[in-house]
Amino acid sequence: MDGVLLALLAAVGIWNAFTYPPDGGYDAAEHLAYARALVEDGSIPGEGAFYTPPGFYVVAGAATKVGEALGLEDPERAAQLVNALLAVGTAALLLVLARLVFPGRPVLRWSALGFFVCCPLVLKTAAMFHPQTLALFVSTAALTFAAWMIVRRRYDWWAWLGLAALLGAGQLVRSVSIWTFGAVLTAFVVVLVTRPEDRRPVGRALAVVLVAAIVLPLPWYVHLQRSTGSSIFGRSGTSVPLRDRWPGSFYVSPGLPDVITHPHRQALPPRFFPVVYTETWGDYFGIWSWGPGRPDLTDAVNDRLVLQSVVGAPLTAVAFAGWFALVALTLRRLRTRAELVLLTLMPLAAILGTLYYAVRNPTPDGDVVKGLFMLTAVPAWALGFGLVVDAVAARNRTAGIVLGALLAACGAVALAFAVA
Amino acid sequence: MSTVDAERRSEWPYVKGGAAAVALLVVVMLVGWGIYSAVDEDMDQFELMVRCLENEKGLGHTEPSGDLVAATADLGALATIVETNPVTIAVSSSEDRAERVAERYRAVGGDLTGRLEVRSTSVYLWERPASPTQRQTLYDCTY
Repeated sequence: MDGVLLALLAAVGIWNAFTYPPDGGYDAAEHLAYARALVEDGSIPGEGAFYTPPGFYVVAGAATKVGEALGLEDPERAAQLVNALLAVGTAALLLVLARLVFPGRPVLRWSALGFFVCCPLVLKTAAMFHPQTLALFVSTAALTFAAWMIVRRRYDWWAWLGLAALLGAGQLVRSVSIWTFGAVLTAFVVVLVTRPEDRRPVGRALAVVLVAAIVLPLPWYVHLQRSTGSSIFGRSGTSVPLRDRWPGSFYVSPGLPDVITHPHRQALPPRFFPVVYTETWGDYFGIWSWGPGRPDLTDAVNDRLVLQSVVGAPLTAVAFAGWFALVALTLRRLRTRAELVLLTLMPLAAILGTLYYAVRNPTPDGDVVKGLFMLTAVPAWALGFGLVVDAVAARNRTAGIVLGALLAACGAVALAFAVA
Repeated sequence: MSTVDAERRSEWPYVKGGAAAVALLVVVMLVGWGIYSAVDEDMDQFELMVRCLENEKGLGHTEPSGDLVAATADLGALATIVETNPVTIAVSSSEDRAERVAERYRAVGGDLTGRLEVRSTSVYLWERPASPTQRQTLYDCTY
């Protein structure tokens, strides 16, 4: 089953890489210009996506060069192909993570992988010329590696070095990698506090890792601080008073009924949770199934988005139930299951981090609330999802089959939407 | 019973709790939003639009003088200029009311294709047919 799901993800990812237009994703023109400038002139542009670290653009620029050498009509598609392969690599890491944290539980593993493969947010982002998929891959690698160290109690110097390299490299791809850094750091602090027998090897090395993971991306932060005055965001925040940045409904509105009946920016006003939801399962901003250069937002297109909002509901509910269960499990078993801290913190950090960014840089059209900002949390959501399906199946086989069939049907609909 | 089976069984209460938490969250969300909508939303909408046009788009505005139709919008109306194209915006408390405002405009103005638009509870009447960027400016400030 693992292989089938991975092959399915690879097939859709590769298809999308050669179908979705290179200039079709979020801020694609800026990302393409950045990669071109970096590879051809060795310079970081002073405009466009200048605030993004250069990690992805080095990889994407090199891939584009290979695409040119191969004579591709759109050489940038080689970079999109790299993103597709990174999505498959992330799925493989998710399997490893599932085996480490929940060994001997194939139903959990398959369910988690199924959630990941069917989540349109993953496939949409992987299809684009965009740095977030690389950030997802590096983040998941760091989480998996940290989980391996905690579960196996492997605190060798080379393991610490590898972890520091991953945490530092992530910050050279996208600033959201700081969340992963925080989650990993917190997990090891928990080990430090709750496991006296591990205190010595972890305490000594953790300080070194902390320094190394900060020093590695430091040149980039210094560059941003010098050029923009803001070392992490590369942009100063708004001076608008906090209460005027968003209406109260932005924070609390479930967006009903439009989040179901008209799940797109033409009708649904920018509200935090509805935008994140419709971005995850559908196409709020019009970068996938409708919008400039794509079909008009006809009734038929709207109906398809409605279907996405409907099938996304049970998948989201189960993922949330799993996350809540993970939080409770983590709190009750901190000493014996410290690795669970990694999984519980990622979704929380994603929600709070995205909310903070939106409040720091408000725009009336909600352009600062994008689903892909939360992409690095998808593996943790997926494992929470798998935990619920596995627990139900263990409790009652028939209930497990019914639930599994319902979720699989929803997942199949969602996956079909994610085929470009 | 194997270790794995024992672990799965021990996790069941947590999964049940997680499902209950989701159900509770949904109920709280719906009730909270219901109360918030009833108490606050309608009065906020016009004020938020005005603030957005001023703060985010840098647009000044006046009262739509002599526009008796705009005056019938129960939440308020204003006149402004977007990229040299004057526009009157009338905001109502419901989509039905907004549609009635638009019908009144059509009754006195005839064919207003390209100039008149109803978006949710807001009605826009442009002096000239609006360009996509002009329309987007107002969309950005429609709450």
